[in-house]
Amino acid sequence: MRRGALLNLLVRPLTIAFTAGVLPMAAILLFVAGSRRPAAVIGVSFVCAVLGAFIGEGMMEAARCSFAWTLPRYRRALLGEFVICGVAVSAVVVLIGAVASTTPPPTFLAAAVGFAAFSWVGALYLLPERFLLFPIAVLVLLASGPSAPAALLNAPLTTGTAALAVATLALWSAFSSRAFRWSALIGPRADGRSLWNGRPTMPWWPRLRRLRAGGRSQGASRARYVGTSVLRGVVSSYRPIRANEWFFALALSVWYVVAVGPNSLNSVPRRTFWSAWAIFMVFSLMNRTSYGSHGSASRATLPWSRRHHFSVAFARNLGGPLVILVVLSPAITAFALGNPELLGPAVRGIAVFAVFCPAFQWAMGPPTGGPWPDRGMTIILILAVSMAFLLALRLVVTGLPALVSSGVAQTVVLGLLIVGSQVLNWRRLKGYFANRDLVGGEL
Amino acid sequence: MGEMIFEASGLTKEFGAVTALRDVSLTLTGPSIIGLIGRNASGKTTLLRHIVGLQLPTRGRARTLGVATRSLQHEQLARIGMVPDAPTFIRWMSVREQLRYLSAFYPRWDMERQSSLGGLLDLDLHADISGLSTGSAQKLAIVAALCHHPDLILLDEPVSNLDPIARDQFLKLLLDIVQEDNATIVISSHVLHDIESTVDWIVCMNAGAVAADAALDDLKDQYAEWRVLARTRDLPDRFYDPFVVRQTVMEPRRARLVVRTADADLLAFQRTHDADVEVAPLNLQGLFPILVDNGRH
Repeated sequence: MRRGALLNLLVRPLTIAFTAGVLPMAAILLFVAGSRRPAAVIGVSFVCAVLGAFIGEGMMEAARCSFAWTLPRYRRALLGEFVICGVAVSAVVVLIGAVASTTPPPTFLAAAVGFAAFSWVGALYLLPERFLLFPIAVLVLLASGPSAPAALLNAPLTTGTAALAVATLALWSAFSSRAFRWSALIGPRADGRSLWNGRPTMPWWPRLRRLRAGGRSQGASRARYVGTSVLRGVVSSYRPIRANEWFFALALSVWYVVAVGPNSLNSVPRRTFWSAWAIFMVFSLMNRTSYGSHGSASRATLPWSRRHHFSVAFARNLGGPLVILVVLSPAITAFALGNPELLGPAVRGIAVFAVFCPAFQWAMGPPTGGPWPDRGMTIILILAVSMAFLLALRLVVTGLPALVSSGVAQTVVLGLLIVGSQVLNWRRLKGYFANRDLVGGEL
Repeated sequence: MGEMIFEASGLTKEFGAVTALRDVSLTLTGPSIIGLIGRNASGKTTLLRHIVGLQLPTRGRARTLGVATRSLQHEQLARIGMVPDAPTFIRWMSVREQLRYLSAFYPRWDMERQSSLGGLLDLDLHADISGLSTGSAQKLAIVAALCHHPDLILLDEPVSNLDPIARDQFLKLLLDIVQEDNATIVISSHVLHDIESTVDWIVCMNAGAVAADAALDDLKDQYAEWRVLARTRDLPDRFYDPFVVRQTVMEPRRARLVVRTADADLLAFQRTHDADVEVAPLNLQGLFPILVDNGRH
């Protein structure tokens, strides 16, 4: 009897805690959104997507294990149970929506859209193209504009059917033998065997030099990057930069230039801009500024002292956000030219981003690299820091000018906050590298 | 003639500019224990992945258990057990939970074998997978691959991380499994000394091509080691006899040669060089460079 392919992955305290946290949030969200039907549909989709992401990540871990490909009927079992979960989740969320909302959306529409959101986001975790599909989905969502949900709500049958068709397509792709072959070959994320690690193993300029000299780029020696200077250390620690993250950051930056920057706020809603800005900042912080998302074992073999490891980590943590700002600079410039009156809030937003950098870096993983061993605690930490960041963003962007009117005084306050967060980070990093194991990490 | 386990014809696998498998034509029949040997990056792991359908050929044909590897169904997968070179499991489970999770998918899962294998390999069933050493993870992969009585067992470097005691027990176990289940085992390893006592067929890969595909005994019969001791005069710097395949030790009065037995004329050699010759069988370690060289030529 083949059973429990997915359910056995879900029956654990982390899932119960996560669901117990999400469902009350869903009730509150749907209650708040209850007076407006489009918002209620978006709320249902959002909650289903969050749960789909959670379950999708669990499936991804299993699908990337070495046994996953040879286990008979595994794909089919996972698919079946994922669909059952999707139906159950969307039913529960729609039920919560029906109880919490004053004007609940049509049941079929809400259930279909909820199931589609659950399936699509969950399936993304199994798809090789997810790093491409996810940004496209975010861009489509942001570009669709505020009137789209209302328009979709006016044709519930068509929208519901289209949503189910999208869900079917996502499930068919995600549970195909192609996707599972890819997952099994790529291996688990934390062990550094990801396909992206097979990409260039050193910065492009020396690679180019080697190629010109007739050498091969892959598997080249790292020894030349391991010097005594912190700068060389930082360069060598950038070795496993993942191309997809660069691509995403650049794509978003270009999107800002094209879609947001030159336009006046009359054509681009203020809320859309700020939500896109915040999403991008959070995403950038989570993906680009951790010391290294890959295993730290190889790093520990570098002939560096603990003090040098500390210096490199601190410099790297400072350099990461600067790289993001450089990537974003065309968008910021375009934005400043198009919306000079919003330059002040944008600068304050960047300052908040700078203040929160160390918090994100610590939440993402130990400074020695790799993830924290306790994934559940990591998720809670990231969520907590993200919420605090968004709250601080709102407080500083709109609240600070009310408290401190002078621009110079605002700069001093924000500067002190940035320096303070970096000093704290410096002290904590120094203590970490003085006393902890250099391999792996612990919370 | 046993059951056809795997059949490849013109199998080629390319990763961009790199050719991992080069026109491989191979037939594996069972029950038997097949040693898959070769230098690093010679295509052993890629071949094993093709057998199980995890990777698909760029060109050529591959069939496992009578079915094209592209179309392997659960009926065939249930008959295969695989120990990959770097086994990975669900990190938050314990060993026992992981085995229970896997056992639900195999109708022929044998709990008794699970217990006995776990005991034999000294695998702690209560340990958390996240805390397993590389060797323990390999032991778990071995147990997971063998408990459903597979007909085809693919082992990619299964002994590389095992301690000597576990390694010895594991290799003895393979012989028992072949007898008990009539299974075919393909074992890839660089520890030639260990697998020599276990395997009966050798497939040697070199640069993605099959350099040798023969019974181990036949290969051993084809070659021998001659320990040459000069009687009166110094030996030449180099032997140019056509049957001399390899010269391992060359001293003025002493030499060790690997010769092709079919062409070798011992008496004529002794007369020509005025030397005594002790003939010794060649082990797999000694055969390996010759097989690889054959592939290269």
